[in-house]
Amino acid sequence: MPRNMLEGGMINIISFVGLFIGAASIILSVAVLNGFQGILENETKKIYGDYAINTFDYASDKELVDIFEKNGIQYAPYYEEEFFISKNKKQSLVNVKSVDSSKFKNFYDLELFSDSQDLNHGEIIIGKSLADRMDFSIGDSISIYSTNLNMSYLAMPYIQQLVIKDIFKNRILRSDEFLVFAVSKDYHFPDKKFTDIEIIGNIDNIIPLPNKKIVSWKERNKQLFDATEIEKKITFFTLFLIIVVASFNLSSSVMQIATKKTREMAILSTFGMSKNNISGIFLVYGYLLAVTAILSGILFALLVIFLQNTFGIFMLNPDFYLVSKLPMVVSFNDIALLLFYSIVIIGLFATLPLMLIKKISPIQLINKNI
Amino acid sequence: MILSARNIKKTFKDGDKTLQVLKGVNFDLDKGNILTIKGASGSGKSTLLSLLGTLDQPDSGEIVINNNNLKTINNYDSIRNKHIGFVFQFHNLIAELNIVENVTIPTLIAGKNSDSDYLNKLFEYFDLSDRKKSFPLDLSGGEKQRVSVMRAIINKPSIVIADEPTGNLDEKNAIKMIDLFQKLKNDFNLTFVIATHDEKVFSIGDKKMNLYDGTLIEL
Repeated sequence: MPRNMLEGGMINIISFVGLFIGAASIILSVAVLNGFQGILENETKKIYGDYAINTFDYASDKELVDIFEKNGIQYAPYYEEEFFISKNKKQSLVNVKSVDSSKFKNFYDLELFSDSQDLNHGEIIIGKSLADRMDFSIGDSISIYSTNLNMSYLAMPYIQQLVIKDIFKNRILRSDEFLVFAVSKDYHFPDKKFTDIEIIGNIDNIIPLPNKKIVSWKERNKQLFDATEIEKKITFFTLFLIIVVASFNLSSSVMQIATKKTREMAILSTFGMSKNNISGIFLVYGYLLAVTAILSGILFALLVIFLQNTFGIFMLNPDFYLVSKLPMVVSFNDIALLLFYSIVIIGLFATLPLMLIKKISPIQLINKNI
Repeated sequence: MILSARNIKKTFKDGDKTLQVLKGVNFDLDKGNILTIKGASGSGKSTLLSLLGTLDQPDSGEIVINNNNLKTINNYDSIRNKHIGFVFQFHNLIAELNIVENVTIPTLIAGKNSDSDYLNKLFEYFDLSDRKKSFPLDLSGGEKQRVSVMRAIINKPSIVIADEPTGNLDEKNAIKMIDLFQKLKNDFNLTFVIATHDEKVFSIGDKKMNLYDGTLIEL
């Protein structure tokens, strides 16, 4: 015998599938974007650390260094300047990051072709893209001179010969096209001091640092990470349109059922059920259908993410995507946001048919018109 | 006195036309009595029952049900649930619910749990004990109407309003229904207001009235 007073048939299945697909596609798409964002973050931190302080001086900032060491925070002072780099007749503008040789290996997590353990005077590490473009190889000798065109006492620009110690690979922000690591005081600035310092570690319990402005890796690469955040938001809201459309469908489903059940609603009203309570039945029904569909969609997406992270179902070409398998990271904030927006939207759409219920008159029942 | 109506008037508008259906209805009814009302089709019997059942409101006049003056009441749903039972010409049972569920609808709406002893006794009284788990589609016309009467009295209402309760029954079942009303009046001290075209039903009234030209005349 029929037991489901609110049976909606095919239109319910369509609503369910729509909401299911909407929820699953949002979680999956955002998980992929989170995954790539995580890779961006990791790769960026490998060459920029977690934070930077752009006003640093070894002599006057000894207290700062003491704080870092006391709190187990890794730091690497550096000085950065643009140089021309040349070999034979090829030239390129590069950003030379002059670092403390004692800090270099432990601080920067570079993927080196020769896995060099140190960086010494007269040596340089360049990026793979730069090496490919300039046809440089490990062991090559190159010339480097400042874009400031500082002159020697013979009115000649300072030109330094350096040997390529190793080649690193890091395509984030095209860094291996223009970033070059060298040891400080290697070239024509014997009195040049470090001006900046990069930090790895949790500095929450030591900030505020005296007279220092701390910039996070995200702020240093604001444009890129703002762009990825916007991309995530646009993806989320574009895919949320599926849920909006499915909610329209749900609305018509509830409307259809309410129209079919006019007589039953009039009976309940005659025996004293308030119209608000009758509306509540349909609202709860709409929500149950929708929340079940959305939770099922989320669970399905979580299952796919688990399988991908465990077995690597979707593989990628690492030369293009930096990773060999599609990265997927679940953000519980995204799930909470999806549930919140869904509940609001479904509430709105499920409420529309309730206008019809308000018009139900049990008088029709007593007048035998139903 | 369980029910009284004073100078009840009701007018309907249909475009520019105005039709005064009730022009001043007056009556009193004591507990445990049956009031039967007859009248020509369109005379306003159903309208009067709608007003007595709080499903509609009069333009003027006063209705008092068990000391509750409807003019001073805001929540008619609660009054209907506690004080009024309805029996319609058609049984109006919910097809998707079984018989027990149909019968206990008013109890559930009141937010109470059904008293199983009372419910069992009621099913025995109505000779429907073996039909508890059945669905309306499995019942005969007479059984369905008996279930609808059970539903009307489950909350022990002050009055039971019945609009053409035998209108959809064959003669045999109509007689059974008439007997049932009289039995319920005697055994449960229930009060009935019955609108009917059927002379046999009309004759069971302790008070018999004719609705004519918008007013009730006692016969």
